[in-house]
Amino acid sequence: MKPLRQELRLALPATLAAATDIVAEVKQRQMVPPGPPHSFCIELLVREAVTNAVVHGCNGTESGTVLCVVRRQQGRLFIWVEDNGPGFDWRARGSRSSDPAIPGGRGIEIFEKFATRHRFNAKGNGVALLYRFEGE
Amino acid sequence: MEMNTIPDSAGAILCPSGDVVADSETELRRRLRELVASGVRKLTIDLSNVQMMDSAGLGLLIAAHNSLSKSGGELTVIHATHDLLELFRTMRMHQHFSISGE
Repeated sequence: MKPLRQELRLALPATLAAATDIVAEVKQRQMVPPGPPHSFCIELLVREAVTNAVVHGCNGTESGTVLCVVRRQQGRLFIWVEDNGPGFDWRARGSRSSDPAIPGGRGIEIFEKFATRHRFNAKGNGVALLYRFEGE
Repeated sequence: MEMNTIPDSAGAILCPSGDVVADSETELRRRLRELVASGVRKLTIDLSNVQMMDSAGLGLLIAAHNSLSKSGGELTVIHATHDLLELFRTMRMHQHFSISGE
Protein backbone atom coordinates (compact mmCIF):
# COMPACT_ATOMS: atom_id res chain seq x y z
CA MET A 1 0.00 0.00 0.00
CA LYS A 2 1.31 3.39 -0.99
CA PRO A 3 2.05 5.97 1.72
CA LEU A 4 -0.52 8.74 2.04
CA ARG A 5 2.07 11.33 1.20
CA GLN A 6 4.96 11.03 -1.23
CA GLU A 7 7.53 13.72 -1.92
CA LEU A 8 10.39 14.03 -4.35
CA ARG A 9 12.90 16.87 -4.12
CA LEU A 10 15.65 17.19 -6.73
CA ALA A 11 18.15 19.94 -7.56
CA LEU A 12 19.78 19.47 -10.94
CA PRO A 13 22.08 21.40 -13.28
CA ALA A 14 20.07 23.44 -15.76
CA THR A 15 20.32 21.19 -18.81
CA LEU A 16 17.57 20.08 -21.15
CA ALA A 17 18.05 16.54 -19.86
CA ALA A 18 16.87 17.67 -16.41
CA ALA A 19 13.21 17.38 -17.43
CA THR A 20 13.65 13.81 -18.64
CA ASP A 21 15.61 12.90 -15.48
CA ILE A 22 12.91 14.28 -13.18
CA VAL A 23 10.09 12.62 -15.12
CA ALA A 24 11.92 9.29 -14.90
CA GLU A 25 12.29 9.69 -11.13
CA VAL A 26 8.61 10.59 -10.68
CA LYS A 27 7.59 7.50 -12.64
CA GLN A 28 10.09 5.23 -10.91
CA ARG A 29 8.66 6.25 -7.52
CA GLN A 30 5.13 5.60 -8.81
CA MET A 31 3.98 9.09 -7.92
CA VAL A 32 1.70 9.37 -10.95
CA PRO A 33 -1.89 8.15 -10.48
CA PRO A 34 -2.80 5.28 -12.81
CA GLY A 35 -5.00 5.60 -15.86
CA PRO A 36 -5.34 8.18 -18.58
CA PRO A 37 -5.01 11.09 -18.83
CA HIS A 38 -3.06 11.61 -15.60
CA SER A 39 0.29 10.17 -16.61
CA PHE A 40 0.45 12.18 -19.83
CA CYS A 41 -0.76 15.43 -18.23
CA ILE A 42 1.61 15.24 -15.28
CA GLU A 43 4.61 14.39 -17.44
CA LEU A 44 3.70 17.27 -19.74
CA LEU A 45 3.45 19.74 -16.84
CA VAL A 46 6.73 18.64 -15.27
CA ARG A 47 8.52 18.81 -18.60
CA GLU A 48 7.17 22.28 -19.40
CA ALA A 49 8.00 23.71 -15.99
CA VAL A 50 11.52 22.31 -15.94
CA THR A 51 12.28 23.15 -19.57
CA ASN A 52 11.02 26.72 -19.05
CA ALA A 53 13.30 27.03 -16.04
CA VAL A 54 16.30 25.73 -17.99
CA VAL A 55 15.74 27.63 -21.25
CA HIS A 56 14.20 30.90 -20.08
CA GLY A 57 15.09 31.02 -16.39
CA CYS A 58 18.73 30.03 -16.52
CA ASN A 59 19.15 30.92 -20.20
CA GLY A 60 22.05 28.55 -20.74
CA THR A 61 24.22 29.80 -17.88
CA GLU A 62 26.71 27.20 -16.65
CA SER A 63 25.89 27.92 -13.02
CA GLY A 64 22.17 27.46 -13.62
CA THR A 65 20.36 25.05 -11.33
CA VAL A 66 16.77 23.90 -11.17
CA LEU A 67 14.98 22.78 -8.02
CA CYS A 68 11.97 20.55 -8.51
CA VAL A 69 9.62 19.39 -5.76
CA VAL A 70 6.81 16.95 -6.54
CA ARG A 71 4.37 16.03 -3.80
CA ARG A 72 1.42 13.65 -4.05
CA GLN A 73 -1.20 13.72 -1.33
CA GLN A 74 -4.89 12.83 -1.23
CA GLY A 75 -5.86 13.25 -4.86
CA ARG A 76 -3.52 16.13 -5.53
CA LEU A 77 -0.15 16.37 -7.16
CA PHE A 78 1.76 19.53 -6.34
CA ILE A 79 4.74 20.55 -8.51
CA TRP A 80 7.14 23.34 -7.62
CA VAL A 81 9.94 24.30 -10.03
CA GLU A 82 12.39 27.10 -9.28
CA ASP A 83 15.57 28.26 -11.01
CA ASN A 84 18.37 30.53 -9.88
CA GLY A 85 17.94 32.93 -12.78
CA PRO A 86 16.69 36.53 -12.63
CA GLY A 87 13.03 35.63 -13.16
CA PHE A 88 10.62 37.09 -15.70
CA ASP A 89 7.61 39.41 -15.66
CA TRP A 90 4.79 36.89 -15.89
CA ARG A 91 2.28 39.65 -15.18
CA ALA A 92 3.01 41.24 -18.56
CA ARG A 93 1.76 38.16 -20.40
CA GLY A 94 -1.80 38.37 -19.08
CA SER A 95 -4.06 35.47 -19.99
CA ARG A 96 -3.83 35.58 -23.77
CA SER A 97 -3.50 32.39 -25.78
CA SER A 98 -0.38 31.75 -27.81
CA ASP A 99 -0.32 32.86 -31.43
CA PRO A 100 -1.17 29.69 -33.32
CA ALA A 101 1.11 30.59 -36.23
CA ILE A 102 4.26 31.13 -34.13
CA PRO A 103 6.33 28.08 -33.16
CA GLY A 104 7.20 29.22 -29.62
CA GLY A 105 5.40 30.52 -26.56
CA ARG A 106 3.15 27.61 -25.60
CA GLY A 107 4.62 26.65 -22.23
CA ILE A 108 2.47 28.90 -20.05
CA GLU A 109 -0.63 28.09 -22.07
CA ILE A 110 0.02 24.43 -21.30
CA PHE A 111 0.04 25.31 -17.57
CA GLU A 112 -3.29 27.09 -18.04
CA LYS A 113 -4.90 24.24 -19.94
CA PHE A 114 -3.53 21.14 -18.21
CA ALA A 115 -2.98 22.14 -14.57
CA THR A 116 -5.85 22.63 -12.13
CA ARG A 117 -4.10 25.78 -10.93
CA HIS A 118 -0.78 27.46 -11.51
CA ARG A 119 0.95 30.40 -9.91
CA PHE A 120 4.30 32.13 -10.37
CA ASN A 121 6.21 33.60 -7.46
CA ALA A 122 6.72 37.36 -7.28
CA LYS A 123 10.21 37.26 -8.77
CA GLY A 124 9.10 35.08 -11.66
CA ASN A 125 11.72 32.39 -11.17
CA GLY A 126 9.41 29.79 -9.65
CA VAL A 127 6.11 28.23 -10.60
CA ALA A 128 3.68 26.15 -8.55
CA LEU A 129 1.38 23.75 -10.37
CA LEU A 130 -1.53 21.87 -8.83
CA TYR A 131 -3.01 18.82 -10.55
CA ARG A 132 -6.11 17.23 -9.00
CA PHE A 133 -7.26 13.71 -9.74
CA GLU A 134 -10.09 11.47 -8.55
CA GLY A 135 -10.06 8.31 -6.49
CA GLU A 136 -7.68 8.95 -3.64
CA MET B 1 15.93 9.79 -31.62
CA GLU B 2 15.49 7.12 -34.28
CA MET B 3 13.40 7.84 -37.35
CA ASN B 4 12.62 6.34 -40.71
CA THR B 5 11.82 8.32 -43.82
CA ILE B 6 9.68 6.68 -46.49
CA PRO B 7 9.45 8.43 -49.85
CA ASP B 8 6.01 8.31 -51.42
CA SER B 9 4.54 9.62 -54.64
CA ALA B 10 3.51 12.94 -53.14
CA GLY B 11 6.46 13.60 -50.83
CA ALA B 12 7.66 11.74 -47.78
CA ILE B 13 6.47 10.03 -44.65
CA LEU B 14 8.62 10.61 -41.58
CA CYS B 15 8.31 8.16 -38.68
CA PRO B 16 10.12 9.34 -35.52
CA SER B 17 10.46 7.01 -32.54
CA GLY B 18 10.54 8.27 -28.94
CA ASP B 19 9.50 11.44 -27.20
CA VAL B 20 9.37 14.65 -29.25
CA VAL B 21 10.45 16.95 -26.43
CA ALA B 22 12.96 19.72 -25.78
CA ASP B 23 15.97 17.52 -25.13
CA SER B 24 15.41 15.15 -28.03
CA GLU B 25 13.86 17.14 -30.86
CA THR B 26 17.11 18.40 -32.44
CA GLU B 27 17.50 15.39 -34.72
CA LEU B 28 13.89 15.60 -35.88
CA ARG B 29 14.26 19.35 -36.51
CA ARG B 30 17.37 18.71 -38.62
CA ARG B 31 15.63 15.98 -40.62
CA LEU B 32 12.57 18.15 -41.26
CA ARG B 33 14.80 20.95 -42.55
CA GLU B 34 16.60 18.52 -44.85
CA LEU B 35 13.34 17.23 -46.29
CA VAL B 36 11.94 20.69 -46.94
CA ALA B 37 15.26 21.85 -48.44
CA SER B 38 15.30 18.79 -50.73
CA GLY B 39 12.01 19.85 -52.27
CA VAL B 40 9.50 17.73 -50.38
CA ARG B 41 6.18 19.56 -50.45
CA LYS B 42 3.77 17.04 -48.97
CA LEU B 43 5.13 15.75 -45.70
CA THR B 44 3.40 13.25 -43.45
CA ILE B 45 4.61 12.69 -39.89
CA ASP B 46 3.61 9.28 -38.56
CA LEU B 47 3.42 9.41 -34.75
CA SER B 48 2.81 5.66 -34.25
CA ASN B 49 5.95 5.42 -32.12
CA VAL B 50 5.65 8.72 -30.22
CA GLN B 51 4.03 8.83 -26.78
CA MET B 52 4.98 12.29 -25.52
CA MET B 53 5.30 15.74 -27.04
CA ASP B 54 5.89 19.04 -25.23
CA SER B 55 5.72 22.67 -26.38
CA ALA B 56 9.07 22.31 -28.13
CA GLY B 57 7.63 19.47 -30.19
CA LEU B 58 4.47 21.44 -30.94
CA GLY B 59 6.66 24.34 -32.04
CA LEU B 60 8.56 22.01 -34.32
CA LEU B 61 5.34 20.94 -36.06
CA ILE B 62 4.24 24.57 -36.46
CA ALA B 63 7.65 25.49 -37.90
CA ALA B 64 7.46 22.59 -40.37
CA HIS B 65 3.93 23.58 -41.34
CA ASN B 66 5.02 27.20 -41.87
CA SER B 67 7.99 26.18 -44.03
CA LEU B 68 5.92 23.84 -46.18
CA SER B 69 3.10 26.37 -46.57
CA LYS B 70 5.50 29.00 -47.88
CA SER B 71 6.42 26.71 -50.73
CA GLY B 72 2.88 25.57 -51.45
CA GLY B 73 3.17 22.30 -49.57
CA GLU B 74 1.37 20.82 -46.62
CA LEU B 75 1.96 18.90 -43.42
CA THR B 76 -0.16 15.97 -42.28
CA VAL B 77 0.10 14.21 -38.93
CA ILE B 78 -1.17 10.64 -38.64
CA HIS B 79 -1.45 7.87 -36.04
CA ALA B 80 -1.36 10.19 -33.02
CA THR B 81 -2.22 8.57 -29.68
CA HIS B 82 -5.36 9.60 -27.82
CA ASP B 83 -3.27 11.73 -25.42
CA LEU B 84 -1.50 13.49 -28.28
CA LEU B 85 -4.79 14.10 -30.10
CA GLU B 86 -6.12 15.74 -26.95
CA LEU B 87 -2.97 17.87 -26.68
CA PHE B 88 -3.29 18.95 -30.33
CA ARG B 89 -6.98 19.76 -29.90
CA THR B 90 -6.41 21.71 -26.70
CA MET B 91 -3.58 23.69 -28.25
CA ARG B 92 -5.58 24.30 -31.47
CA MET B 93 -3.03 22.60 -33.71
CA HIS B 94 -5.77 21.15 -35.91
CA GLN B 95 -6.47 24.67 -37.19
CA HIS B 96 -3.26 24.49 -39.20
CA PHE B 97 -2.83 21.00 -40.57
CA SER B 98 -4.59 17.69 -40.84
CA ILE B 99 -4.27 15.46 -37.76
CA SER B 100 -5.60 11.96 -37.33
CA GLY B 101 -5.37 9.32 -34.64
CA GLU B 102 -4.34 5.71 -34.25
